[in-house]
Amino acid sequence: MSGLLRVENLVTRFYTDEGVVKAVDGNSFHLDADEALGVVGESGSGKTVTALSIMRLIENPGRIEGGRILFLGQDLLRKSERQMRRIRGKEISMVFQDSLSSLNPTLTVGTQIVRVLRNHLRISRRDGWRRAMELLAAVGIPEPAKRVSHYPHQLSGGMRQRALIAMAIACNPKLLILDEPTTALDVTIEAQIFELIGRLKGEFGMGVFLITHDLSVVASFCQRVIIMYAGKIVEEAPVEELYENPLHPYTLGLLRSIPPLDGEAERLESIPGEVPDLINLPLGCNFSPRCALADERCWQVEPELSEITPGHRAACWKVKSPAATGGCHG
Amino acid sequence: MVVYLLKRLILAVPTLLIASFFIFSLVHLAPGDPIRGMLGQYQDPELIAQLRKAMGLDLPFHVQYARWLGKIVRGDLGISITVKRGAPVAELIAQRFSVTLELATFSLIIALLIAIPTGIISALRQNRLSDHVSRLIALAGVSIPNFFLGILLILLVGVYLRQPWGAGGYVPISRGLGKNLAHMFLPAVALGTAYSAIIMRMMRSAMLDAMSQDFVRTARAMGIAPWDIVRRDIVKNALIPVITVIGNSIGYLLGGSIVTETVFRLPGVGNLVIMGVFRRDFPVIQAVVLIIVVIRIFINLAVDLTYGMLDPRIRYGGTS
Repeated sequence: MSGLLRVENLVTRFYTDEGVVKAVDGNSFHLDADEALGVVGESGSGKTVTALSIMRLIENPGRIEGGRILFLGQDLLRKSERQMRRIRGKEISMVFQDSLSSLNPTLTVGTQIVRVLRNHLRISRRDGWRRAMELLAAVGIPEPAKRVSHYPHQLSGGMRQRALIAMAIACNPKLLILDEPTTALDVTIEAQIFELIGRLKGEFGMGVFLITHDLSVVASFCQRVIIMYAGKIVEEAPVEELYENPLHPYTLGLLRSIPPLDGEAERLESIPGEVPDLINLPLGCNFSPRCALADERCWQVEPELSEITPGHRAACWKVKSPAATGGCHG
Repeated sequence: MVVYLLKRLILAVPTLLIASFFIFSLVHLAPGDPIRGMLGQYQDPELIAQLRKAMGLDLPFHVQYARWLGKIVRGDLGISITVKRGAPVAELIAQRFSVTLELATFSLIIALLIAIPTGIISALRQNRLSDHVSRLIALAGVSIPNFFLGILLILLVGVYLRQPWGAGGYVPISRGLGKNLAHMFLPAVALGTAYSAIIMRMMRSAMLDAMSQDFVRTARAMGIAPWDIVRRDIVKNALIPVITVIGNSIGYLLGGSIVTETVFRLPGVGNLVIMGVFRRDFPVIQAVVLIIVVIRIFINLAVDLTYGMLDPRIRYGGTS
């Protein structure tokens, strides 16, 4: 129970005119200090909503309907907005996807970092600026003394993302949430950014919650993975375990849709069908309409997420008990 | 920046030319004859023909236009035919310009004082009572013509409350700034409220737009205090489009001043153009309208420059 973050039965829904969107539907997971947890899924699978729920940044018409979010043993869902403001940016920080739109275009990068620092720490303006320059240097921005007074649009995409990370780690948070931090960047810069985050994680013992749809990023950076599908966790495992022994048919589909780097490029497979409508979810397993293995029970009854082998959980009727083969090729 | 300014100034030349042509054509297409208006009861055909020739009104349209344009370029706005016979139009405008300028400035100040705070509050309290109330008032402000509001204000303050400053008329600053401003207050309110309604609506929607931006979410995720988010993330970004609206609708203020000056009997440029229209004083109408066009062009330029001050993306160009 040395967990940094423990989420239990989190339910987040959006009350739209079309109906109730079950964006996050009763998920539980945990994250330790100095651990990187990857969260993988298609868009609309509830990854970002999970992250925003942890930050308590769900806005109307969304609502966190149930569960507990224990951060260092304290339930964040019971904190007041005022208390949450002291946690956000200081204890838990988040880096968003699009660095251009995520930075205020009318303030310099330095101003935006200094403002976070001065918001949480007793620090003079002068020291704040010095610290902002140090942070920019720490995230590998060349000429930080010059860049600190630049506006976001004057920086390249990679530098902007670094500046956003600098802002997020300014107060040495214990948990860093990254929402697809490198989607807009090219591969070399992506590698540099992950190297940077990995280094910071080691230095400060940060827990990292990494949202991505890219399984290869997870393979190189994370210790554990959660696979989400239509608002639910369908599989959770240590990274090597997931790659060697994927249990859920959806995970298998995801892995098969990655082109292999070595060997013959076999025919890539895509998962047939579409992500279900989160307002009208299937009766049974959410994945059953697209699953080749689905039978009557899958269509009628929802499978529970259960531990198959230690540390490896999956929500699928077709997964054999631990003693058996472990595969899902029934 | 200097190159940009020069470019804009050069671009203003064709705009002005086209505008001048339209103004001239419209005035000449309008029914009514300045000579007949000038002569009153003595409608002697021979005299009419003589005067027509003397003023060049017998010449073909394009020659008249060319002559007028030639004079304008040399700074000669012409001679009044009927409003104040024989007086240079430039002089007439100069005498009255300060009145209109004061009215417009005062109205703008009142409009901003009403619009910016209500726009901000309305957006921050979206769909709550204060939002609905301010939107209703804004709708009323846009819908009520300012001459009607002006008449109502005169009735209320001047007639019912019997305040001397509420009955219209103009007191020059030389007779006391206080009195001058007091007499300007109601006209400025009448003109400013409708204008404030336009700005307020724009401010509200620009605020709502800014509030939904990703960087506001970032600021919230960093635990920034709400007042700081409102000030530096929302209002600062919302003001950029609002400044444009303020500038672009200055024309509204100038147009509105024509009616307002008439209702409140203010001897401004708007009042001059009304007299010009009633008495078919072509040079007066042409000159005043052309000056309004020039003012608008310069205001637009000023707006663009302000825009650059607020938005670093424009100030520094594409250096990303």
